[in-house]
Amino acid sequence: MREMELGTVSILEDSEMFPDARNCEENCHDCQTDNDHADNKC
Amino acid sequence: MYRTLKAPISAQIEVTEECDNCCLHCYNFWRVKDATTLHTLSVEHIICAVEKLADAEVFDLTFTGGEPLLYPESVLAGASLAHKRGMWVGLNSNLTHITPELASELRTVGFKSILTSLCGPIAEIHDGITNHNGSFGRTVSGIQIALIAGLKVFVNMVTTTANQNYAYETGRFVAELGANGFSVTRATAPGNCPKFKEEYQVSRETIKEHLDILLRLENEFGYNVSVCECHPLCLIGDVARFKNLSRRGCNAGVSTVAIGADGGIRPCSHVSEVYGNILTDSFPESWGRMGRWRDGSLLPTACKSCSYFPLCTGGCRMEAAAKGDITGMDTHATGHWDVIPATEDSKIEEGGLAGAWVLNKTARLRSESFGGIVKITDGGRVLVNADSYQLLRRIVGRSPFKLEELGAEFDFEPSSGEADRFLRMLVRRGVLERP
Repeated sequence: MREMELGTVSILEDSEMFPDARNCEENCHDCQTDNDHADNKC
Repeated sequence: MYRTLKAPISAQIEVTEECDNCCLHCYNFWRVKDATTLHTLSVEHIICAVEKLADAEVFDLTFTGGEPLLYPESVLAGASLAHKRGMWVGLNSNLTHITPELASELRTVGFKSILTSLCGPIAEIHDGITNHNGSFGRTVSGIQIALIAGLKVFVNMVTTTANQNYAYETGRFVAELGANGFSVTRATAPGNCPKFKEEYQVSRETIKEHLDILLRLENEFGYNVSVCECHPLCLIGDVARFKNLSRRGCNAGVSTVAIGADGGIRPCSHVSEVYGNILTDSFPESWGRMGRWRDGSLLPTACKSCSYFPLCTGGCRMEAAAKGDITGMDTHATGHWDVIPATEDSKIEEGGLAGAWVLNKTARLRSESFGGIVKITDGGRVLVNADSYQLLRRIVGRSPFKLEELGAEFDFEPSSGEADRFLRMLVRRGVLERP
């Protein structure tokens, strides 16, 4: 059995084009809130 | 540019186009319509819409308007079904029509929180903006009723030149009411009101002052602070300092959708473009037609080449449209030179990964072509690859486990670089939690 490769996926198909965005280590865009409620946590 | 998800993550349903307020900043594009032509979703129609959204595995559903509580039977029927189908439900309301009985019913069908609006700390300001005498008193009373019923209430203040000097006082008033959070949000230029910008739009400097005020309010009153619309990072500036105010991007047609009171399927509440009708058309096919909101063709060249784009998303397209070009820069955007990025020091230090864990009980999973999405109620979303999705699926409902046990069972080394980073991220986002 091969070893599992765990990892996130960016909503951007071409996220590698934006290397400076690494400051947020798992890509903040993927954790942005989707509704209007302020109790959502990133 | 963006992946096409099989469905949006969240949706807003505009229950009715009617509203008893007539706010000068309202983004509802139908605000100039003849009152006799306004639409409302009947109970039957709202059931149809919710069924289709649930079938598409949309995670979160917000009932909005117009003023949705003008038609409480539609809201209650729709929310009850959505909740039963496993969706998170939220409500945007001016609360002028809530009663203790209705608040109790809202809780019963699954609502836990409400987002409402106050335009100022006193009636003179609020009522002047809503063009509705008595609306301030009714909303304040509505906030109190909702809080007594056990609903969380978050209050948003939409800012224009008419109320821009009252952000702190409004926040303090909201804290005194006992609300759970406060946001200050620049008004987005209504698409049908060309004079709006010159008369009412707040300046870049004012918005930055409001961000400072939000931090001050957070420190003084300890509630959550936020902004409720997409603000470009070059407007926010210091991303580390305003971390919690920097995370709302434009998700129109990428991960969110609006369902109009006529059934029209649109990329966002602010946008009037219709891509199908949920009452008569296939929802997945309509969603699939929104390609121009995902392929980057609506974004300004400067934003597409900006290194901060993934964190920023390029501001609000309707702000640009109000200036005559939907592909133009957001009104308040400047460029990458005004972004002060977060540094390594601003990251939250993690605790150890030893000991027992469980999958968050509110975690909901949805498969996608790349793997899947895990969504935490009252939390963020995480897009994960195929292996990670399979792992998460297999630990749903599992008794407390140690990560090394999982590693042995599913063949990965928890302490290795990528796996360790991924697992720490799941903990930070609340996907994994202590039993």
